[in-house]
Amino acid sequence: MIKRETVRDVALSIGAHVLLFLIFTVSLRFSTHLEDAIPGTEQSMQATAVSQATPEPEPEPEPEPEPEMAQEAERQREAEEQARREAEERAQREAEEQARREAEKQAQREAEEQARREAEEQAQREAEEQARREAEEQAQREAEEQARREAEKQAQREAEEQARREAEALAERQAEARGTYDAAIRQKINRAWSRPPGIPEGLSAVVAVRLGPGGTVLSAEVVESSGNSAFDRSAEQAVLRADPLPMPDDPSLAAPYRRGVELTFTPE
Amino acid sequence: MKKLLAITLGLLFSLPAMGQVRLEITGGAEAALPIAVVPFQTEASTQRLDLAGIIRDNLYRSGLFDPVSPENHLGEPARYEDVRFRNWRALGADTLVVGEVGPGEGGNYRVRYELLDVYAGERMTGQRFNVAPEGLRNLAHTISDQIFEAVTGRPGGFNTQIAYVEEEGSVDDPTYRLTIAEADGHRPQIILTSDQPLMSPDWSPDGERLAYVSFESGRSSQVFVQDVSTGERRSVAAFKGINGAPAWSPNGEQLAITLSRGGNPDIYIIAADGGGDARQLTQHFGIDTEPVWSPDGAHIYFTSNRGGGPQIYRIPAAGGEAERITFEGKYNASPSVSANGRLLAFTHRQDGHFRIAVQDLEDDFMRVLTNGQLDESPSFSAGGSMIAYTRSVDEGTELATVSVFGRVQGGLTEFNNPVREPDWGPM
Repeated sequence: MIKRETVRDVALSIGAHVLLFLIFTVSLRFSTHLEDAIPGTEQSMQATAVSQATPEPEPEPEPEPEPEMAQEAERQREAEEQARREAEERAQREAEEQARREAEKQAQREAEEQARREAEEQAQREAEEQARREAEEQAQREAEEQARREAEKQAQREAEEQARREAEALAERQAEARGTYDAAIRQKINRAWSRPPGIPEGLSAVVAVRLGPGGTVLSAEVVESSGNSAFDRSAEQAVLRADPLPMPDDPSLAAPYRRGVELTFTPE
Repeated sequence: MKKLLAITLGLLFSLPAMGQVRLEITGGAEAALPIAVVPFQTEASTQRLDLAGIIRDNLYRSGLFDPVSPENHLGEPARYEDVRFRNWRALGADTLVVGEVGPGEGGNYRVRYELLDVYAGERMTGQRFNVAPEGLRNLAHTISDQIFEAVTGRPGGFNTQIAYVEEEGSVDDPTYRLTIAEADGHRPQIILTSDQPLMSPDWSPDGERLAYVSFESGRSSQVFVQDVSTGERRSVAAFKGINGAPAWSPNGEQLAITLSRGGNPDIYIIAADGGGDARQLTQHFGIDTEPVWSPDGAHIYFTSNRGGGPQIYRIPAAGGEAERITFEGKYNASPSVSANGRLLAFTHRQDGHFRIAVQDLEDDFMRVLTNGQLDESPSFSAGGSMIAYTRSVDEGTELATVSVFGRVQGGLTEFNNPVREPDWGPM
């Protein structure tokens, strides 16, 4: 029994180590991936790498002392070498610095240029957008105005047409009423017309009649005399005697009569 | 909207032109005009003369008026302000006469009247008068004239006189009286009395003189002219034989008369004052008599039997050919010409009766106006709407009038004595 448990413990321990190893590997890969995945950070990372790549050189261990001459020459040589390297390094650093600065400037110029262009583009886009919107609005306003005007015109045309039709219908009804009432008026006045005997023949007189509502005779006046006062009077009195004259009840049909009636009296 | 309003208004205002109602009234009827003459309001005991009655009768006789009987009057207004026109309209009166009589200065009367148009509710005419008592009747005639003229547009001629001959007494012992009376026959005045026949009175155009025939000399006739107001008279024609039927020329200077000095009766012209010789106008073996002048003095109408029976002829006053005027019937005599020269009145025999007829001288249409047994001697009134004549009644002949239009005829006064040959005087 004890033996079996130990085996299982060993297996578990091995699995755990394998899992740990796996996790470590993945996490390492993830972080590398992460570095690649962040653009823009590369430069500064690089720069850092450069500065890290040139650490201060640690002092060389003092060489073992050589024989005098040889040693002196060696030291000379080493010093020169040292100076040369340092100069080289300095030149390189300067060049690098120069390049870096230029690169920065360039980048800045480019960024500025970019920004300017973008701003310009933005402004232009906005201006265009503005213009477009305004044009649209204008067009819409014009369309609406046009529609409104057309609607008005249409309404007016319809109103005119309506008025015309109504006037025509009225005229027709008036004409019809005229036929009936003209005859009735003639008959009533004719019956009321009596003139003194012995009046010369061939006389004729015109009487202007003003009528009130219901055919009431407001006035009857000779406007064209026959030249014979008795004849004129008989005509006037015929109208007054026939008062009220037949007239349509409908005010629109009575209108022509209300505007005045002219009666020409002729015996035969 | 404004435009629409403008259009609508435009339509409205353009309508009157096309909507003016014009009608022809053709026909009507001729009828005497209904008039109401209200008794004039009179202050108690001032006078008893019925002015309204005289006016009413005058207007009625003209044939142009149909006075409403006073019994039917609705109220007796005396002035315009008191008139309720509706009442008189209901009565059918076209015109209304109101008035009043009151005491004036010096025993005179103050008379006022108004003629009112019943339908228009307006005053047509009216006047105030200050008149002596004896002038009241004439005033009634004057008012009649004014009413007649205001309504008909023609002169009335009521304030005129009629001359005629009245015969009194038995046939064996008659008395003849030349008489003038008012146009309604009232207030006769005798201007000459004779026991010999008096005939054919004729008024001078100025109304101041009368020409007439008198047999006073015994055996033959003479023509006299007498001044009516002074009674002065003179013989203007006393030729051998018949001196008859004098007729004044329109200018009053000549007389047309009938003379038989040429052997048979012909028409002659003499000076009205009798001077000079007579000018013979007609020359025919038949009888030419009863001359009358046309109002323009250009022609003389006369009765002649030259065609057989008596007919009326016309001859230029200056002389010439006579032309026959009447053709209807076998007896047409005693012509009288209306003042406007348009109508000729005469005695016409119809169905054995003598009646008064008029003939239109323009279209020659003849109408018989009277329906009596013996209607004779027509004489046009000065106004032309009436004719005086004599008609037979049981007792004899009486003075009557007939309207030229409207067929009103009747005696003027109660019969007194037989009358002959009336002549209606000028205005």
